[in-house]
Amino acid sequence: MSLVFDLVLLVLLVCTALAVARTRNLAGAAILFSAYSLILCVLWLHRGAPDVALTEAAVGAGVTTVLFLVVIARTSP
Amino acid sequence: MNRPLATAFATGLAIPLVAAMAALPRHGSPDQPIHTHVAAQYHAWPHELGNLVTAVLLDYRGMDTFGEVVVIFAALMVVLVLRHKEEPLPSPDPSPIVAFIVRLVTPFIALFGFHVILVGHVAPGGGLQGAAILGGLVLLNGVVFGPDHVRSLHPGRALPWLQGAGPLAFLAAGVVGAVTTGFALGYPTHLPLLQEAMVVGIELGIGIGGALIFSRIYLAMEGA
Amino acid sequence: MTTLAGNLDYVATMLLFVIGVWTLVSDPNLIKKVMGLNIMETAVFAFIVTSGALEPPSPIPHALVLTGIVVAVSTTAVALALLLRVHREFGTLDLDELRDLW
Repeated sequence: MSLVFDLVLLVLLVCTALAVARTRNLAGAAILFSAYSLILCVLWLHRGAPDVALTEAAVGAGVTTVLFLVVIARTSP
Repeated sequence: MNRPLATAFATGLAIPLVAAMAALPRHGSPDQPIHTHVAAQYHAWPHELGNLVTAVLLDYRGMDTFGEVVVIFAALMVVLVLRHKEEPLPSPDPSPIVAFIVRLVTPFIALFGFHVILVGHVAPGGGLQGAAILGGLVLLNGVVFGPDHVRSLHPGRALPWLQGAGPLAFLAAGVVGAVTTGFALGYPTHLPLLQEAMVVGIELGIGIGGALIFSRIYLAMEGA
Repeated sequence: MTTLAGNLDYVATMLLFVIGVWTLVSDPNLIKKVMGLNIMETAVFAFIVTSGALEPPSPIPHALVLTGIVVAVSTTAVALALLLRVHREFGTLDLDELRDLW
């Protein structure tokens, strides 16, 4: 059962990374990157790594996504 | 680089990498390369801290964590050199639901962030996690209410040395360790209270310094 | 082929790494390049943590990955600050236009 969950998480991860790579709209790519970071956090919990999951959730959704959105807001005409 | 050349390069990179994954030992077997070199020694040594991750980060690999704290401080220096004054964007007008929820959960997130910093040596947590949580909290308030609202949270002119609290805590712990044991970052096992105080002091330094660094990077990028 | 099917977790992390490299190399927008760099870094972290998955999970790879996450955030912050200055000097963030303007 955990093998199926593992496989589903990995497939979702690869699909979200492909979506980040292919999106033209920059704000959409930043939000998709935040979703990629959240799925990665669930994968860390599934692997039994609570410290890494805590750091990844706070850093991926909190710091990196906000910095991307600040730069996109400042540089789009 | 144009698209077909990039796709050919990516495919040419993928084939040896994926083929190399077939040569690794099976997933979950203990003779993978990460378990055979130093990890067995770390498991065999006795450690008094409850959390093995914190013991590896602060005790067995303390110099590497010192280097990482200096790296994030250097990133702050680079961002401060590159900043310039910008006219502020039109201040956002948050909807009442978003404003109410952010104001409601901010004290709880701050309490949880401090809790994560302080219990890092016995439970999953630590200085880096708490720094990311507190820094993310300041960034959340900055996005919803505008950067002028959160500038007062950052001790800009009064205590600018608090941003370097990470490297300073490591230097202080190094001096205390050198005085008591003779090694630069040695933890005195004959004085358990002092050892625990050193670990908590380093965690607090990394936590507060890291949170201030993250919020300062955000304020510098907003042109404040 | 049997060992490849048994190591599907590692294959997925290498696929993520190659997707990151492809984004870094082919997309002309500089912000997408920084996103591709981040995807590459998180793929390497996934590989390191996955290789530590014993029956009680070994916590030593977690310490390596924690340092790596902080270094990734620092690199992203410096890259984005540089992008802001590039936009202020040249007015655009597209690599094809920058190549003509330089």
